[in-house]
Amino acid sequence: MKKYNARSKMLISLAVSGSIIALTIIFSFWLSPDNLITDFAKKSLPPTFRHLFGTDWLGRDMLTRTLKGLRLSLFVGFLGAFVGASLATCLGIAAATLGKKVDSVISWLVDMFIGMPHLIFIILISFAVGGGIKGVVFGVAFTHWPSLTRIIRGEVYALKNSQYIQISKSFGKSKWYIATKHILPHIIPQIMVGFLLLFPHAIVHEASITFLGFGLSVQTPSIGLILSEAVKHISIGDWWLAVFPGLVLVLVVKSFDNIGEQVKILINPASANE
Amino acid sequence: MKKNLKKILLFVCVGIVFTGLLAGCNQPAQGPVNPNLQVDNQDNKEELVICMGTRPPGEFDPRKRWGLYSQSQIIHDTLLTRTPDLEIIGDLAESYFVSEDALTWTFHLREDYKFSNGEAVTIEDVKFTYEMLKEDGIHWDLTFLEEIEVKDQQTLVFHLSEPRSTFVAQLTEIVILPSNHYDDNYSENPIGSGPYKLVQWDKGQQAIFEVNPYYAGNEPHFKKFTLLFLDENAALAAAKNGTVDMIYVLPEFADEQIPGWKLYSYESNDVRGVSLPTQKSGSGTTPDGYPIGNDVTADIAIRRALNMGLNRQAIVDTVLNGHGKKAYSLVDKMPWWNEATIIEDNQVAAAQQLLQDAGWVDDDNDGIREKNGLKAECSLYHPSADVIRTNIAIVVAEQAKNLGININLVGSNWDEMKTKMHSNPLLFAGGRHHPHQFYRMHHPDLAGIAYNNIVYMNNPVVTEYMEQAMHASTQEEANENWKLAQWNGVTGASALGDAPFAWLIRLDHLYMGNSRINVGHQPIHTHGHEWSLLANISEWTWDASEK
Amino acid sequence: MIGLSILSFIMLQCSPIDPIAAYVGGDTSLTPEQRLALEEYWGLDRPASEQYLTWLSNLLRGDFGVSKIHRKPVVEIIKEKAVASAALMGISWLLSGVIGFILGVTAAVKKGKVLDRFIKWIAYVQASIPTFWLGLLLLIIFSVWLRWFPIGISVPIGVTSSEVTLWDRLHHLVLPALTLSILGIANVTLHTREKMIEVLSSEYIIFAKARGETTWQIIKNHGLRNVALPAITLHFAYFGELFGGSVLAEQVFSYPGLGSTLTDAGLKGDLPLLMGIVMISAVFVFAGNTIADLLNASINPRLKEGV
Repeated sequence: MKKYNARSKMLISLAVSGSIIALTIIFSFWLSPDNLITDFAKKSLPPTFRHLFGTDWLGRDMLTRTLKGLRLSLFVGFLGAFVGASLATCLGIAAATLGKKVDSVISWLVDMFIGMPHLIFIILISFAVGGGIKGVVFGVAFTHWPSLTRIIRGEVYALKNSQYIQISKSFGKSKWYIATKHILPHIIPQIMVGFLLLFPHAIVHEASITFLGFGLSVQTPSIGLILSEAVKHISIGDWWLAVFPGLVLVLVVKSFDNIGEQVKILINPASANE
Repeated sequence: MKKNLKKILLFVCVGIVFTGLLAGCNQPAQGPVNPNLQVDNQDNKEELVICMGTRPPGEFDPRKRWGLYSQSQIIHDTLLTRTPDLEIIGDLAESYFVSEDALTWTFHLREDYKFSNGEAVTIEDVKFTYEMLKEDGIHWDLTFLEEIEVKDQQTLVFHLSEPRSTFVAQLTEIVILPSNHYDDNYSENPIGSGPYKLVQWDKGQQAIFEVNPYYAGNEPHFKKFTLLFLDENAALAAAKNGTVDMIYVLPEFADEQIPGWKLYSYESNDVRGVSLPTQKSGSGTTPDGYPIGNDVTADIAIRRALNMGLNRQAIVDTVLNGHGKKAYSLVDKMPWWNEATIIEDNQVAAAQQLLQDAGWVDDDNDGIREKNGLKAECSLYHPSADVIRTNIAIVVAEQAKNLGININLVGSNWDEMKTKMHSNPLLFAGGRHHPHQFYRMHHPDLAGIAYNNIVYMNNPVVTEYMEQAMHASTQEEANENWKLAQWNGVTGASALGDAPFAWLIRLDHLYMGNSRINVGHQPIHTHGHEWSLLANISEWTWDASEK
Repeated sequence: MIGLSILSFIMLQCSPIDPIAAYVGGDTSLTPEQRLALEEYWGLDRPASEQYLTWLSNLLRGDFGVSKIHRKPVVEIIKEKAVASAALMGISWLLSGVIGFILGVTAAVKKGKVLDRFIKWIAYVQASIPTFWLGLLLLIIFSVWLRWFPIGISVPIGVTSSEVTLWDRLHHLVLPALTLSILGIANVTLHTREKMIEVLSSEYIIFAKARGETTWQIIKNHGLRNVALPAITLHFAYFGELFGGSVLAEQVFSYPGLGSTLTDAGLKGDLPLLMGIVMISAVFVFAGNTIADLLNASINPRLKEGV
């Protein structure tokens, strides 16, 4: 009975998180871009029913800006998590299966990247590719793989030495066969969880890097940009410029985090006790 | 489900409250720091703290453009200077005389001027300054200066190779430097003979000025002023906290109320507009090696359509909160402005027709016109640290969309924009008390050098009028030619003619400050928000009765 | 470290930003001859590998090159900013450690009670709040509404640098330090809580309870010692994130430390400065991790004994 409760609780929480994200995406498409057109009659309005999040100093609707900005964050976050997970999978498997040399090179890379703060790497990469939205996308995409690589490497390592793979090997199956038929299916759940848990990080980093002023055009709605503009206007006391966009960002990030954690428990119930 | 959502919200709220509590514990409560509260009871105040932007443009060195933005009379002197009514009078030159053919300018220097280190200003210093800037040749065009002759210790004669009607303006801008103390590091320790001297300059933070004890003129009322380098937002916060006496404000901050303060607003010819490169791409590179030309803006139909299709009043209302005027040229309201260049704008339908007739048609219905496979699309660079220009750029891009022209905004900094400005539109600015800038921004010989003629304008008719204006021996004759250069009924450098720029608005220069500061009689302001007001700070007074 | 330096160098080499234009700045223009001279000065005309070796050998001699935007030796700038950053990060590191630890212990003692759940929530939520948004909220509450702290002013006004008092400095430090410390609390809290619960449910604690010791005595005598060291270890390993956080916090509060200088250098293409700060931060993070490792190695056996 109790277990059933815990499980349904978990599903509900998953559903809530999922719908928060879904709503964000749906609304970001549904809200008309006309709300983003500047209008001097609607400058700096505090939140009202018509403008739930208020308007900015050019009369643009903040709710629309926020949600459209989040869509970009989600996109970049997805890319970051996806590239991160893919890289991690390749590198992790390579490290565990391609011998000592490759392993040590990859481990060295991982150590190097893990030591440094993400943000600094994103700044470096964004700088190297010449800034702009390209810089942000590349920066976020290529900085989120190291910790997952390490996990996958460990996992594959353990698998490789397990009995049935040893047996399969002795049957003369090729390395490729073993990797795709035996190892990959086993680590896919790990990769999924890793992917989901990378997501919130990537989103926050996207927001952080645009906040610092790297990249985006002022035409592109972006959460980081909105918040950095809010800093520039903070002294007139338009609190809604900062509070609501940040709140929605936290909600979405938390939702992703939640989904990741719950899926992790679903896949591997033992970790629920961790 | 609801419960869970609530929970998450609760988390966040709790987080915020917690934050507050935590801070409350760490920080013993203290009242707002307000040094001005004590000052309020004073009848006299002799020190000021002023916020005017984040850096001193030109860094006190004329080789870095110091003097181009009304800064010449703070820590320096010039040969001539202007009254608030823009009349030219003597400064270091007690009197001057121009020959009939306008080729010989004779100056009689005053004897009592001293630099802030106590050394006398000599005729050699003047000669050195002009010769050095002529040789440098980047921001000050003095090529026509053939010879500087020292007649006696008090008399200096400038021999010109040709008449130059804008020379007199340069004489009011070029600051006299100490020949013995001028080097590449002059910015760090500038010595001048003006009413104030620079005491300390922490880059990016503040500059402290005190009265120059050797100043020959009347002693200023304010003995010391500190220039705080804050962005507009921090400046407003500082104003509300009472830590400063005068700030320059953004239009969106102008409606803030601060007790004991008022809004100081001055009309200006400080214009903002969009530069529109006139040459096609692949037209080579600038002397510095940056590419020239843009295929879209090279089409005059695009340039004219933007000029007539954009809604200038909407920009004034949206971006400037109404604190500004529509602009039509670089020289609006000046005696050399051709008023015929005022065009009717916001003609969206007419602009669309113009584009249509020129072959710009939206074939694929994506809202953007095309011509021979080329999309009517360009980047617009704007300095992202400049709030006003950024906001104008946003509105311009929006309005251009209605015309079927797609403008992609690129927020940037000047380092990058210097490399892009000859091949891309830029949110540009200008405005001077003299027509020389007009010459520099349209003359083909100066194209690509520093910020001159970044659009590579090259219209022989316009160039000829400008040459005649430059070489005119009377101001009237010069002005007549300046006007013809803008529009002679057939062609010109204005929106009616080649339209190399879409000038959009003139800002009102806005400041907020303690109501008791009397800033004297202000001329119409020029480009350079900060120093326009500070230009006459040596004449400011404290008006204790004002409340 | 060397790998990192090569990697950063390669990445920066790829950047399309013209370092000469960046150096010269917006106010001056160059003749072609001056330009050539500058290129030669930085060795921009030589191949990248050679540039790197020159740079590295200079680095080892303690010469980080000259910053292009500040026109001062990078070492000087870093020294100047590092003091400010060290104060900021040091204070927040200590604060978050102490507060996090206290909260963790409290939560463990009150396990399952309202207070515990409350603390867990806070730690849980706060882990996903972006640093800069938190800073922004603090700014709104304390600077805009309460006006206790300045906005964007990093130095006291109108006083020469020699007259700046310690209080002035602290006044400008409070909000950024607070932001950063709140950022670091969650980690320590959750960790401490777990460990403490583990310790409290161990047999010898039950024995101590039976002996009649109060909860506080138990914690003091048995819990703290066993939990504090791992927490400290964890906290050292947190140096990396601390530095990342400081980049954001310094930006929000216009605090003139290494973080905001790094952002500036990145945005304006100041290669030597960017590299210098990246290297310094790498050393810093590396030091934190090493300390954590050493601590870990030294306390683990004892911990086992204790339990």
